[in-house]
Amino acid sequence: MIEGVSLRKVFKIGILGRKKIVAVDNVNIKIKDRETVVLVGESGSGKSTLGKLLLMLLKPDSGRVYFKGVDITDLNQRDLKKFRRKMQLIPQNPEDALDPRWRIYDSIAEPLRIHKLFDKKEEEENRVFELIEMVNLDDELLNRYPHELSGGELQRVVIARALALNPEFIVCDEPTSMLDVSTQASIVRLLLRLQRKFNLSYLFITHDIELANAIADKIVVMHRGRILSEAKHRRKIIL
Amino acid sequence: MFKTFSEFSKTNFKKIGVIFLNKTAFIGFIIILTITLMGILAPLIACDPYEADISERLQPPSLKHLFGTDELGRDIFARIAHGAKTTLLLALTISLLSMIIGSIIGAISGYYGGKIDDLLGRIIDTFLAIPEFVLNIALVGVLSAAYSDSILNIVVAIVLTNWVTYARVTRGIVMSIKEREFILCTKALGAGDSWILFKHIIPNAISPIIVLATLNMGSVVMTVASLGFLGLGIQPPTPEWGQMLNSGKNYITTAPWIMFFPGFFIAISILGFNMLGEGLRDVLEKRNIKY
Amino acid sequence: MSLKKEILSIEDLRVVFKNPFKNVAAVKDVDLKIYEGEKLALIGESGSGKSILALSVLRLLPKNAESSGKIIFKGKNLLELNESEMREIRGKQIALIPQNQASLNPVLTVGFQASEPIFHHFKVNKKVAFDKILKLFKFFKIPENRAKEYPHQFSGGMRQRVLVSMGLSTNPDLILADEPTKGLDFTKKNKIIEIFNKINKTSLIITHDLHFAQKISDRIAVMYRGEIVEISSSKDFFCSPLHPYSRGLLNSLPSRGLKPIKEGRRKYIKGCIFRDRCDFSYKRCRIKPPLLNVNSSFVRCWLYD
Repeated sequence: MIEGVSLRKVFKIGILGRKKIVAVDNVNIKIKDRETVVLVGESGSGKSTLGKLLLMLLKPDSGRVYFKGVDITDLNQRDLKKFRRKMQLIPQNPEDALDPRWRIYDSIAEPLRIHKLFDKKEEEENRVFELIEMVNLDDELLNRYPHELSGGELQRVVIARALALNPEFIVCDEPTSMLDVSTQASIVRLLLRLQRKFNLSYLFITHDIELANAIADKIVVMHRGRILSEAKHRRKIIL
Repeated sequence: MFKTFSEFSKTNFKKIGVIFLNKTAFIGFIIILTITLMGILAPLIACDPYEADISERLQPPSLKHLFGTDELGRDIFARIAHGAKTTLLLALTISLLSMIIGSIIGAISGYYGGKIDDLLGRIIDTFLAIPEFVLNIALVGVLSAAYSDSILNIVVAIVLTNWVTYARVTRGIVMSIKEREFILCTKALGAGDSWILFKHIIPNAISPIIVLATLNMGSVVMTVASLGFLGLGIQPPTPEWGQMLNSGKNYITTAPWIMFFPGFFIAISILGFNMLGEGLRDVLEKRNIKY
Repeated sequence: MSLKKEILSIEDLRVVFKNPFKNVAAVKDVDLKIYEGEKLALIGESGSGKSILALSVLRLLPKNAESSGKIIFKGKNLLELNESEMREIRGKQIALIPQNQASLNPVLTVGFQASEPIFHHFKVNKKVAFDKILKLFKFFKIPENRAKEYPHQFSGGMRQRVLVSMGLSTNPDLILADEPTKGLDFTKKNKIIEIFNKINKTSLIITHDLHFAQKISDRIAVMYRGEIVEISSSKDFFCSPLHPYSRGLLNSLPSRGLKPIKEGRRKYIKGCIFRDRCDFSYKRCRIKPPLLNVNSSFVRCWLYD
């Protein structure tokens, strides 16, 4: 599905970039179809940066990213837009992942509008209803604003929005670290269910080893920008 | 699904209600409303501000002349009311113009960063380094030598110094919004720069900018009056508060009302804008906090 | 257990937030006793009112909050004390260890800051206070020569240790810790567990992290929507939880099957507050159950009547 070859990203901070921080150092990672790769590591180990590099939200300093065999590293904004439909991001903090001034309906419909998928309002509305049902939310929420929803509900909205374009690969960047245990369980189960239904591949970033144990097909451990170990794993949770 | 329209409008009414629950905002609003009405209704409620009657010069406040008369026997109430129109229109025009120019420059600088930001940042810094009022006086001086329209000169001079405040504030706001996660998500969805800037960043930056504009109106009123006082502003006989203040200063011991009323209205309108701005800030900023 | 002296006893506490449009009860009918020497973990999801409960003990709630009931600490009802009497208790007898490691003032040296409560409450000179804090630093393995450094020179774990020694510096009778592990990764969490196991003081630890609660506490109180639904010893709680909500919480842990609790309505419900999400609810649940005594535990559920 997606492959990163010898990726490297250095952040320069301080006056004139005097201080350099190697966030990701020569990393090779490969995610197969329908696979959940769990990336574990301490905070600051570069796992989020690696996720962003694979999605081309950050440009790597060196290395290549292949999506289904196509090199997407040097594409310009317009060419990249086609690939954006196939890969998505679910961020860490659901409370900040939606524009506070947009109603939930508009937020879910946003990707459809960006890619101009539907001409008619009705078609768009149907798709939004379909999506909101997919993540088990009440359509009454569509008219509300983000601050009126709980963390779990917001994360479901974010998932619905990510699914709007029928992606094949999703980076889940600690999607449950800000949520309560019971909400975490339902969100993770939802993600696994959707994975089976739509044949998704996940790069699941977390620092919770028990969670990794429960859902991973492969566990990759990162430390200080490098991959320490990589092992096949058998997931404990079977739907 | 759209049974919720009523619900939607209900929440909006609630928000407006909150503005009036805030005492500061409410008092400020009433002050500004009174002065605005005075300006709009001036032709109806007051006599001709240009009509001079030497036989009635330097009259103290009475029923005939509510605020008394000045050294040429003109009715001060009429001049205050007509002056309100001039002052408020000027303040509004100047604030809006500098808001538009300043916010756009600030937004571009904050959003794109890099070299554009360096260049615009230096320009902003240069303007900030020169005392604003001194620059105003210089600009009005230069402009009035070239063009005779005093109102246009004032607008151009003040906008040229005033946009910097908006640019600086907008740049900061945009930079902090840019780092938020929903912007990253929108990028991941495939949106381009203009989509992000116009659909997400600007709508989110607008409420602090409105607050700033309201507060700024007060200081623009002050600048206009100061220029008027120095004789660089609106030229007589057009009534203007600052210029009235100046003409009254020779009579401060014998006819203090000539100075008192324009001074009082300058002070109260600045107070009104500040209170409205502070109140709006409380209300608008509270809405972003969950409670 | 019941032979032990109780340090803090909360009776029938209710905290209501007054808002212009409606009043919200954040804490309802809370009865809780903390005995000398024990570590009580108060667990609950976000919004369950656990932090509000801790802040109401210190009377640090915002002005629009109104508390009723009793909070008895060493024979005095804290809700009836005036502000200056309260100030005597805060920091000196009840210490709060804040959640955020950014709670340290960046322009003061850590040693000075940590010794501040000592000279503030005991009126000793700064040198004596500083020497005292050095002893505590030694206990928590903070090198003496680093006491004159500033917070940004410290790592996260060390800052946490500074905060803990600051809380302990006045030798308080009770420690309140607010979410000490929030947002930390596993290595840092383990370090904090180590620190908390070193403290041998009566403490009330507020957390949403079940794993952390298991490692450090003697007893556990579970809070749900402002009410305490279960109080058990730590061992009993993790082996055989009583309340259906506690069972649901444990079952949703990744190591125990990741089974979520059923979703419920969000609106206010009469009777048992967990009724809408509970698999066992029946007719009787429409009446609110009292805190029932089962063996040595307490549970607010009709199943145990």
